Amino acid sequence: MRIEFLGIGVSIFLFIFVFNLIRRQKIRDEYSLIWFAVALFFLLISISRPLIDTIAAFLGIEYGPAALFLILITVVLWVLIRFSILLSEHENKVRTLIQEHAILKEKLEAFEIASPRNDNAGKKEEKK
Amino acid sequence: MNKNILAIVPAYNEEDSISGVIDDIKSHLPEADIVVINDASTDGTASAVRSKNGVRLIDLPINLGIGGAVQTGFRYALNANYNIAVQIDGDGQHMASEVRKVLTPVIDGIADMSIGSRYLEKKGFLSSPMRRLGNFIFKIVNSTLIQQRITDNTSGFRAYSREAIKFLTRYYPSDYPEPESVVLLAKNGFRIKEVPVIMKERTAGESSITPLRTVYYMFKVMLAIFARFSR
Repeated sequence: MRIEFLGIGVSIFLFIFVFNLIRRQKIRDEYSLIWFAVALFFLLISISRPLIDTIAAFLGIEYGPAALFLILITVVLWVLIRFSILLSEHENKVRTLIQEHAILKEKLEAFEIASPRNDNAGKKEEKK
Repeated sequence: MNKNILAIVPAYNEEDSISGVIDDIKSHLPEADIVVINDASTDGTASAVRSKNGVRLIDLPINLGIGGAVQTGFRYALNANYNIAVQIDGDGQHMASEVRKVLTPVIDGIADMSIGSRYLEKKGFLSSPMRRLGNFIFKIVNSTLIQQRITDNTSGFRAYSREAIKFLTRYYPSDYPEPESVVLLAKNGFRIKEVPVIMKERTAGESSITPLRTVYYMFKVMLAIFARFSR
């Protein structure tokens, strides 16, 4: 019985924690949705002992909480893979930005050499 | 300005060799524009290039690895409307006197990527025994997969058509890009040709591939090759 209260407590804590992160703009909504889904799922299986027992029986696991661990580990793995995908997308975006930035910098330098007046104006701007 | 051929020279910490490489390209390929991609070197590579006339320098603010540096060159070539690009490494192992051979199939319009191969005529510096073994494995795997004999899959001495440049600007592997891009281009219908070239042993600097990382390198590249092939 106690483990269920602990489960409910942890789920509610997770909800509040994630909500606070969004409120303080620490994480973007798209990431928080993943964690809300995890928290909701955690809450659901914590509340309903029959649900977890049914799932355990279906999977052929005799001890209910073992099924709980299995499901949680699966969900956490899924979240981690999601993050690998997001990270790879970000790496690609950053690489493109670095390349475009370097190309533009070269163009700007060539332009400044070609027109020294603009070069001076640019330097004054920098001093401010 | 001649907008036809761009020589892309990727360089990472090559202050000792870069000037010589630039001079060689200028004397052997005077009609080409040269752009050096300095991959966030920590030595004097950038100032060595700046002291040269008629060379453009793109200074990457963060190290991207050889693939990211070469892709910067592709992006530059595409933006500036070059029809042909040729990669010549800044470490001096690609000889500018051989560059015309590499360019010819692309200029003649019979290839989208032309590879300068050390192993077609087996002259000059052929790399260490360990790397030759790696090269042998890539030769077997890639030649089987794309049904065309490619003898030097790790050679970066390559010329590209505008279509290939456009394609590779969108996707080019970030590290160890050469063997993977052979399969990538072949699978997407680009024509590949190999020409025999002579290479030198690098004159200065350090190779990006250390013996310790060779096993990791082989696995990573093999995975990438099969990933590209299965698309």
